[in-house]
Amino acid sequence: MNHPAPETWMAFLYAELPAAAREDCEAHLHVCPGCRSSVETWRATMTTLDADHATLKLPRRRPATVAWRPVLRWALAASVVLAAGFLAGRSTGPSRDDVKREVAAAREQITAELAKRHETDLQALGAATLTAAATDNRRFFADFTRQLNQARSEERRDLLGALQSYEDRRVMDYAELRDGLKLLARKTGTGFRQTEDQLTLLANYLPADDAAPSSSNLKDTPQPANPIKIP
Amino acid sequence: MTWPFTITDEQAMWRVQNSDDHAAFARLVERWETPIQRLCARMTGDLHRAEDLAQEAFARVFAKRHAYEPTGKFSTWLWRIALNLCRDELRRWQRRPELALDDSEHGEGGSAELAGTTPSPDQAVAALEQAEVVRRALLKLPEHYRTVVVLRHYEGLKFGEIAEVLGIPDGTVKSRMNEGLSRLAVLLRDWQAANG
Repeated sequence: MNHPAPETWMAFLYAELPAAAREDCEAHLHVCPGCRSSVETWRATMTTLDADHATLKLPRRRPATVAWRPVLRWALAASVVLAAGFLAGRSTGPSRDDVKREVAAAREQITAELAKRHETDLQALGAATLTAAATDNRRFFADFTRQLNQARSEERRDLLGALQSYEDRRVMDYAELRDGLKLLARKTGTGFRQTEDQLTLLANYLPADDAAPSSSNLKDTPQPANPIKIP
Repeated sequence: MTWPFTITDEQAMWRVQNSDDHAAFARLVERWETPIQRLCARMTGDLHRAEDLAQEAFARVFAKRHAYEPTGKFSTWLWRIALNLCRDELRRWQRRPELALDDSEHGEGGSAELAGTTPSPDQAVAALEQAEVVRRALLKLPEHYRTVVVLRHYEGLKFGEIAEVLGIPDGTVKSRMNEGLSRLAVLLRDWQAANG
């Protein structure tokens, strides 16, 4: 026989089982004395637990007036003391003229004190204003200096950049010039060699008599300052 | 502030959370103060301390209002806060035994707050006595069994809801309930035998 698990019985006892499962449990109780006994014990315990359900009475919230009682008591005591003081003052106090004089003296004293305090406050306010202005000025100059230095740095950086590019350009021009000169020298050398070859060729074509001019002819012919020597 | 319609706990908590609505918070306190106080009373066995713990629970709800997740049920969150406070209180008593109330003193203090509803004085006395026995038996249960028994039997939470509050599987809750009821049956056997 398959007995429902204790967990199933708990759901059964607290009516949390679906209808079909509940019917199965009820059918099982009819045929299983062991489970029936357990369920009866649990049911009896649940009924006993209900005793506390019915009788538990929570304490009422403490009324708010309770908290005021000490305050009221102190207020009453204070008012009694004040009344006693007032009556004592009325019976033993100074005359009306004395009071007037004292009031006038007190007024003068208070006026003087207020004026003095006013002056002190003004001085303090002025000093505070000056301090604040000086602080602002210092901050302004510091900002200005920082910005100026920053601008100078940027300018210096730009100048260095320009100089660098100029230098690069100069180096490049120098290189180009050198290459040109080399080329020119090479071409000039080649020209000289070609001229020399042509002159040699020309000299070979000429007859010996024609080749050697007469002295008379030579006299008539102007001589070059640096005649070319033919090897 | 009064509303022309009933707002749910979650709606009230949303107002508390978003606009510190004191009227909505008062509504929540009004609804839940008694159940929470009952729970604390049964968990600690001290009716007066239960009152303080319930107030502390609501203070904590308000203090932690921004941590509340609107996706969950407000009551689940509230039960959890109250149970944590009860556990802290019980732990404090265990650490400092002088704070724990003596059984006899405790019993007298508790019975002063128990009121009979039966008409006859004899029956009233018997009911008070039975309730006292039940209360003591409950306090003898280990805390994790007591929690489940109190939430299911006295506060009427479904097993699934208890599982959510405690963060344990549904089967574990039923198993603890079974164990709790069985232990209570043993503890109450003598009283049941004597009173038929």
